[in-house]
Amino acid sequence: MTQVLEGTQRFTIPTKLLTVGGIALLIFIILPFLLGSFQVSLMSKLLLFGVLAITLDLVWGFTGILSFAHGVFFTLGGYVAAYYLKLNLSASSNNYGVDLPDFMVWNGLTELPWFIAPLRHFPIALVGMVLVPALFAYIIGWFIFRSKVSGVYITIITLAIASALTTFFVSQQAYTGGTNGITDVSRLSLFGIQVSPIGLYYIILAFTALVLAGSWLLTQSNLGLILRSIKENEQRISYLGYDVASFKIFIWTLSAAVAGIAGGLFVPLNRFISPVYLAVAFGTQVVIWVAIGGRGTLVGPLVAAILLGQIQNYAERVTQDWQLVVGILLLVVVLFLPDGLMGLLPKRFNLTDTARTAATANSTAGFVQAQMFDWFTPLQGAVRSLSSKLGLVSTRSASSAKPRRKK
Amino acid sequence: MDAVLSEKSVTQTKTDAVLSVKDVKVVFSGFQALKGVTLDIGDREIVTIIGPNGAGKSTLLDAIVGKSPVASGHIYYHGHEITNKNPYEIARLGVGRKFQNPNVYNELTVFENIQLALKGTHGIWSSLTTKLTSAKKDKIASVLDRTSLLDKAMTPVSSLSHGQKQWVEIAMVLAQDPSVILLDEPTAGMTSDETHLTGEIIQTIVQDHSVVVIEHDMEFVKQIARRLIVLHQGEKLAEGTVAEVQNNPKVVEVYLGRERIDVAA
Repeated sequence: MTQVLEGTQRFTIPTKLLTVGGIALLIFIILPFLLGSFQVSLMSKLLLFGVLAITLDLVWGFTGILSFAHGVFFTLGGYVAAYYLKLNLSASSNNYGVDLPDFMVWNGLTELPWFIAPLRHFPIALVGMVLVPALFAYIIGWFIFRSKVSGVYITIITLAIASALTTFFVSQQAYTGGTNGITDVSRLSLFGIQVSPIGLYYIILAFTALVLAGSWLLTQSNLGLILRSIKENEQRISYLGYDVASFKIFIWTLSAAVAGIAGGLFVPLNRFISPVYLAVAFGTQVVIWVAIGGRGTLVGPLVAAILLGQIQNYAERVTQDWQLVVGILLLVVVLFLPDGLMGLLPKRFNLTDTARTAATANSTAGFVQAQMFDWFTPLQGAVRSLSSKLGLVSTRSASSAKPRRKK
Repeated sequence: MDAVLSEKSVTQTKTDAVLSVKDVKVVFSGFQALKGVTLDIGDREIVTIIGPNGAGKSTLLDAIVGKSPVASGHIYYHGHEITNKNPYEIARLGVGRKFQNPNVYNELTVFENIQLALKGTHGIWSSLTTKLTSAKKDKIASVLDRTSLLDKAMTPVSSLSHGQKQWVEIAMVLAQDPSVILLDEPTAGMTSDETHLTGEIIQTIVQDHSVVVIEHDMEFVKQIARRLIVLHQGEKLAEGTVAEVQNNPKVVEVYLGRERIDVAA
């Protein structure tokens, strides 16, 4: 009887995935030898943005919680790292001869606040980088998800959190450096050796690979199945005995913790952190990476973050209005590629579970549009019918009739 | 002495019944959907509930599974009070529910729907670590076999017919393996063949579960019913065998002029 179910073996060794992943990793390992130092730093930054997009994909793409607050978690981790690097400036680079960061001196602080002082120590900073965003997310998550707030209201709350925290960090100038944030931090040294930009790139690359692999394993486990069920119908699954709120709080906190580490690694690279990354605008950018890359694909958001970063890099040289380019790209994806860039890949290249992807393709697309781009719908229909009349695209039905994998 | 005896007999009924509903009232913003319903379901007993639309049938099940808040009254499961507990807590204790409209995961395959429902993997940690053992697969396969869905295991639920979706939901409840199974209109939208097969499934379910069925189709009710309860305007109107209920003057009066009594008579 179970023979019928043979195909359900969840952990057969994914040879295809390992091959493609291995090749991709190899390319990224060789990359620093081919690129100039500017590109190495840029790629490091984009990998971290990609990780941030992956963490949002876990929460939005898999669990259905649209959050604009993931920049906040990233930045909280960033501030912890920034305090550590700022407090470890060598004596010579400290202009004021006091054991205080410059912005605190300017704002009249005479001693280091007790809650910042311990961050001088590397292990404490390392733990803080994870714990501060995780704890913050846990507390918010506990209130949001236990109180049964749902859908678009959660999204509104995340917007409010991003705005409130931006304002708070700007106002607490003596402790946070205000609008400028924390600048001129020291370079990262590990075990007494200064980490070179290429070294930092490899640390970030390893971290990215780890996050991607870990997220993939997570989504392939029973937990992944539960998260997708919560996305489709969270009520039903509670009648099967699952405490939905605890699962939401778990994935929310986990993704915040990983986002925090990404933010922590961002600071030694960027050499400063500021409330810009707390703001809604940055949170929206993360949402765009996920939407363009393809929700629930993990790789898609990473690719989109890198691609958009590179587009911005080159478009910026040609025109000041590079955001227009990104805007047009977003429109194109929303109108014609509801599955994001990953939807462009032929099914045989799709690394996530193909049976499922095919099954969810339409509804995922519908969800993205319904959740984010509701106001486009009439326009979208018009463009679609027009373009199909002109023979520009092979109509929507072609994409919705994707073959389902047969077992 | 009398008082002690009667108190004893009260606790007796609590422990004897697998599920015990005592004078339960449910109010929706002023409207009394249930006006004090009392009901006992014994071990491996099947109770069928009928009644016109708006009689409170689904609301009664909602109250039992923790979906609708109980305004007053008590619900006991094996003698433990479960009134107004969280739905997931009630489900974990052993109360399974099939909803009126198939409430299944269209984006998942049939197999994955059943896998979700399987007994015993409800924590976060266990969901990360548990493997799909062959014992579990056997269990899923047997449940799918009972609901004649085995050849559809790898199909996304969205591509199934309405009747098959109903079976997926029944299969989910079976995989949950609760001691009390609540079925809300299990045959709605089914062909007569499908309905008949569903009746047979339910009869095998009763061999090791207590079952509450809400139904409209009188032919089907005759096929499965032992004890029949008629709800009307949030109250229990009549109770008894199918024949007793059909001959109850109050029931006749309520159903008079309705199409359904023609089928019933």
